[in-house]
Amino acid sequence: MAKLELYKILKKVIFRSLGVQNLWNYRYMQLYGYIYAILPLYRYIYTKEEIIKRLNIQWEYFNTHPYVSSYILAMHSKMLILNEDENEIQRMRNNLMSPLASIGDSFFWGTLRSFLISISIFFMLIFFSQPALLLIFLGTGLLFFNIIHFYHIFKGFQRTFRYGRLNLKFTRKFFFFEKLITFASSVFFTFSSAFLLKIFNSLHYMGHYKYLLIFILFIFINIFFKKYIKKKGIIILFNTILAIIFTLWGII
Amino acid sequence: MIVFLLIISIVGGILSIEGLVWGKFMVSRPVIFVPAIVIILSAMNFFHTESNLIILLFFLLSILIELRLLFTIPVGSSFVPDTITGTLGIFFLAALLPKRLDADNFYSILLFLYMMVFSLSYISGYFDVLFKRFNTVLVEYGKKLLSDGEFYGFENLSKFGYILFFVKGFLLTLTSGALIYLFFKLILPLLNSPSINKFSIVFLITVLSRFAVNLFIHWRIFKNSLLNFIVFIFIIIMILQFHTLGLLIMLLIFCIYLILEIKRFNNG
Repeated sequence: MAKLELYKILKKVIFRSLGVQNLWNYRYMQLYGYIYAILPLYRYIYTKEEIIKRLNIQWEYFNTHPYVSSYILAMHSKMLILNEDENEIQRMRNNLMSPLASIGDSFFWGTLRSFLISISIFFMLIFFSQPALLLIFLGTGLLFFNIIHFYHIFKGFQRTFRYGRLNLKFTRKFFFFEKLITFASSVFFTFSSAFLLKIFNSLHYMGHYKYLLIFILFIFINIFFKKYIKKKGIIILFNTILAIIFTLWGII
Repeated sequence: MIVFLLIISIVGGILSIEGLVWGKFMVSRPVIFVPAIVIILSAMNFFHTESNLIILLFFLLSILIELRLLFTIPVGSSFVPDTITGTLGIFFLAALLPKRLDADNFYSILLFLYMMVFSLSYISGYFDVLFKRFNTVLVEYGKKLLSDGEFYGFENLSKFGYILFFVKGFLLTLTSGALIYLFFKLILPLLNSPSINKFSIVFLITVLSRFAVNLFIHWRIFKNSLLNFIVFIFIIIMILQFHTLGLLIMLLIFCIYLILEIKRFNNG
């Protein structure tokens, strides 16, 4: 019976971990969301006075990647159930949040999100006249992203809680997938850029080679500016002036 | 019509919660929600234009906004523009001015909307900062509740977070939609000029080229891997319209890359 109740409370903790960004602020960052997620477990294990004493120790800033916060919450839950010292738990939390955040940022934001966006753009340009197909493909892309997202939240919590330590094997798998996904994204982006230029061409005056030449010319100009000048405002201004010159010159 | 504007604003509020507070399921990315809304509206015969140009306009706009803000990653306290409310604001235009779009002003309208959405995203991002500052007060109050042992009150504070961001999303969508509509009405005679349309094409190409440069730098194209260089050659093949040949080359490269990566992975 007690096991069933604990199971229900842990499910509540996982569900609440989805809102770890709630009341995000510059002083404590995700602390409110974190305490809000773990509070049911405290209320299940400790008395009112003990909770006040323990959470007072936890009241320091907390920030990590929202998708991997469940790993830290799982470790926290395991340590609470084993009745470990609160200072020890706080030390664990502080030690884990930054490395997990960097893994989450590079994998989820840097790679997986770029992949989702690249395939979405690709599908939008290919199927823009077939809405049903477009919706199916966009939904599939979103599903693919969220399967990985939920896998980390639920499976990550379950495994970390069961073994009481982080399973670092998953990071190795990540970096293999990261390379593949980055490569696949670049493939989709190349297709997309080709289709974009094709759409530009089908609507208006110029031949393909003119678009291509202007596009490549601006790429080299921007690489040069990025390397030697580095000021965004000047780059945009220079691009605008060149665009005006090209228009007045009558190239188009 | 007012009902439609209210529905779009409510969607703005819900997407603000999804994108900033709860879940982050990526539904609030412009490349996901714009096509979904456009497809729903066109299925309801909402757009009265003869061609698919208005659909293409929304699609290209969401692509440009997404590409521009692809590499702004929300790390710690970094400033991230909020694309949700500004992008939803463009649907006000669809509701109010459906017939004024044709091939001669397509690019100038696209560029105008891109500029508007881009600047509104920054304004919305600034409001985000203000709300996050206000959250500090709420969390301090939460600390007081917690030390008094009022856990129920502490948990109830989370609802404030959702309500705050919903109201923010709702109001900003309404405001940005109204602003886009007003500016559009003011500037429309200029947008119909052919020379401005031509200028817009070149300017949009510069925007695309800036994005391409960011992509090269982000993925270290030309630095680490010969394979990425081959991808660049593939871009040119695709642009020159050798689609079948390009596809075959790409598949071949992908297979070689896969084999090499698996070998490297197995060797540790």
